[in-house]
Amino acid sequence: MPILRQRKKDPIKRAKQRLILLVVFFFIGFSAISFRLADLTLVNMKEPEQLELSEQVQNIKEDFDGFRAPIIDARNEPLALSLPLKSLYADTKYIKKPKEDAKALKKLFPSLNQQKLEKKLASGNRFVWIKRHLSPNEQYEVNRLGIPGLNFKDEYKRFYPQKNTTAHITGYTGFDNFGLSGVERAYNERLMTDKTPLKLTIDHKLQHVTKNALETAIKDFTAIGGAALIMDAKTGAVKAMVSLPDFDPHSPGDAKPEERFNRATLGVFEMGSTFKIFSSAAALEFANIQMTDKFDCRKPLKYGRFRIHDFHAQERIMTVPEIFMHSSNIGHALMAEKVGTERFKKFFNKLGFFEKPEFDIKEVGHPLVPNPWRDINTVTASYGHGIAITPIQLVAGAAAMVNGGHKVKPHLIAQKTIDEKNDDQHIHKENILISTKTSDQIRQMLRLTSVEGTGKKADVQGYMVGGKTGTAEKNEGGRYDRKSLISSFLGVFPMDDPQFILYVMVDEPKGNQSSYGYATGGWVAAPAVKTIVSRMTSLLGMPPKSIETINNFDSNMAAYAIYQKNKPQTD
Amino acid sequence: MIKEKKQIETYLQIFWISAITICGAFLFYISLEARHTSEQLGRTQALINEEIKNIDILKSEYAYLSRPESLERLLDKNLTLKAHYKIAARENYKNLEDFGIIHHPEPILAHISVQEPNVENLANISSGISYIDDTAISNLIKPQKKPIALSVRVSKKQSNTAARKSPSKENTNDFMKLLGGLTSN
Repeated sequence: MPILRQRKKDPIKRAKQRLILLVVFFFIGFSAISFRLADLTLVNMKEPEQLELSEQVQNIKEDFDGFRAPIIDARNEPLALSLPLKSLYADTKYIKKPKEDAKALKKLFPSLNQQKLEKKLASGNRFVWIKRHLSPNEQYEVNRLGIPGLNFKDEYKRFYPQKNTTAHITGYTGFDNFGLSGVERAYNERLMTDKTPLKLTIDHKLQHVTKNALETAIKDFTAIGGAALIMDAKTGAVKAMVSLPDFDPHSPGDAKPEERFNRATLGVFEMGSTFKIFSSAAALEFANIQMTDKFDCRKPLKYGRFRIHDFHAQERIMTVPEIFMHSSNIGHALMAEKVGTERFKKFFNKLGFFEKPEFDIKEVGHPLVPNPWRDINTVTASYGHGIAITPIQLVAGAAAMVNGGHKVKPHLIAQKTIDEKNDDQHIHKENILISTKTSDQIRQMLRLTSVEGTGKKADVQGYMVGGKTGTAEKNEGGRYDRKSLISSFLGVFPMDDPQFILYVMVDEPKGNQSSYGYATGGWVAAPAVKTIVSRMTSLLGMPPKSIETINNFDSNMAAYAIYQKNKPQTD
Repeated sequence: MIKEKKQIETYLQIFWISAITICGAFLFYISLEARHTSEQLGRTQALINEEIKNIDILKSEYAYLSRPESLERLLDKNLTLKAHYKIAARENYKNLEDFGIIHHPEPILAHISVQEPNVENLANISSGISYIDDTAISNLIKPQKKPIALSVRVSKKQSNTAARKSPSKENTNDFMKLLGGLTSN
């Protein structure tokens, strides 16, 4: 109480104290402001350009519409990229002379309709699209016009540097940048949400080499189209996948339906003799047939109304390797009979020939399988008729036959995200289809076919190519047409340790002078495989094997010895 | 005593008010600095994004210009290599030993087995040729009208043409045309 009384008694002193407080407060306040003022005007002085830039920052910060992650190949080369492009729009409130401006714009973009444009410019709307996705040159020309009210908006547009070469793999996007086919469609969400590149197993150089070889075969034999694949025999990674005719992914609307049709995955074909790889494997694996066993291939076989005969008729009793290398339908039909329908069906089912294959694009065809499956179907399927599958299934099945018997899952995606390890090294071992012994025997017979049999035109010196030809008549309206063929060759190399499976299929080739009128797989597709092997080994830096190594391998093959022992003596 | 106590009280008051004001000013300064730094960060980020976009454009242009079919076309047009490739083609020899080629544990001749020009193979040819002796090369080459060296050569006429009409510029224009071709209404 005495203190309070004291305060009341001394108001002047109290006022002085308050004044001091106020002075201190204002001093600190003004000091802070002065300090900041000096900082802004003297120390951190901004140039007018910088001020403009900070305004631009806000514009740039706004994310562009429709950005999609890049798609890259195994060499990290871009196959699809989103490029920022300018789109022209008008704020018609500022357009003073719609007629003249429309005329000037029409001159610059002849594709525009002048009357519609004039109407748009006179509408008074604050936002009207004039033209989307301008090139830098077009943007420059628009700026030169100096029309007030014209503005640009940044948008993304998908660009495919390899153009047609990878069109069936990457697919394409629509105007709103949504994937409509290929990887763009199958991985649409991934590409839109995760901005890291999507890596494929495809090698654009192998893709080019494959496309070149297939194009040449189609041109030389005046075919209507074709498909070709290269697959890693151990992992199922697809290194190249070509379907011809193809299209420009930048303008898919201009492509014909047959150009957009992917023969390699969506096309379902009766594969012909390349199926003999599987029927031979089934015979050796499940029917206790030895390579030395002999089958009478002298006369055509009769099954009800069906008559089975050989194209390359030897008309003699042959061993298993001979049946394989001469591609005897009779021999394979006899072997399939020994395997039996149930075991044969079960084997084909395990190979995945009865189901639509799982693959990294959605354009995949469903196999055509006889229903009900009768004994005659086993016989015809043994030489690749009466059952139709996609080329990708055939190649994946063949990979299992030569890699030691492990089923592989064909795939296009190497890395789903940047953090995931490349799964090329991963071998899907869960399904073992045949023993290593049978796989080894199949390899020997494939090699024998390209050394002495129907696939001689596919062998490349130093690379031990093996393979099987296939020539199937196309079934149109329930009848087989002898003139419209599917000629193919399935190649494997190097045969001592298979790394790659190659498949070339030519649709409706016509024989020419160089092939003496023949349009079979050995004449049409085998040379294409040879071209691909000789070019791809160079690209991949694969050294050839020495002649001694190859001779040793060939002469030590049991299949070769059996063939040498049984072949008819010529004068 | 009371007077002294009062004085101390006053000083304390002044001290606290000053301390609070200084702290306030300091915090204000820090917040300004933070805002400034954040602006700088945003600006840098925006510039980085802009550069990334520019790099993407350059990448796509490079990928477009260096696609194998484009390089092959340029090679056909501007270099006299096709003949050399044909010389090195597999059809022209049977066994390497027949030509006295020194055996190498990993023979390189596969690299020159390619019949069509390809830039990668050029490097392989030039790097691989050191394994083969000169007589082997002369045996390997079929008789030609002019002496041929297995190296990249551009004739005078061609080099002049190339200088006048830069192929890379032509291709760049193609790329720009393609970019323009991406447009639609």
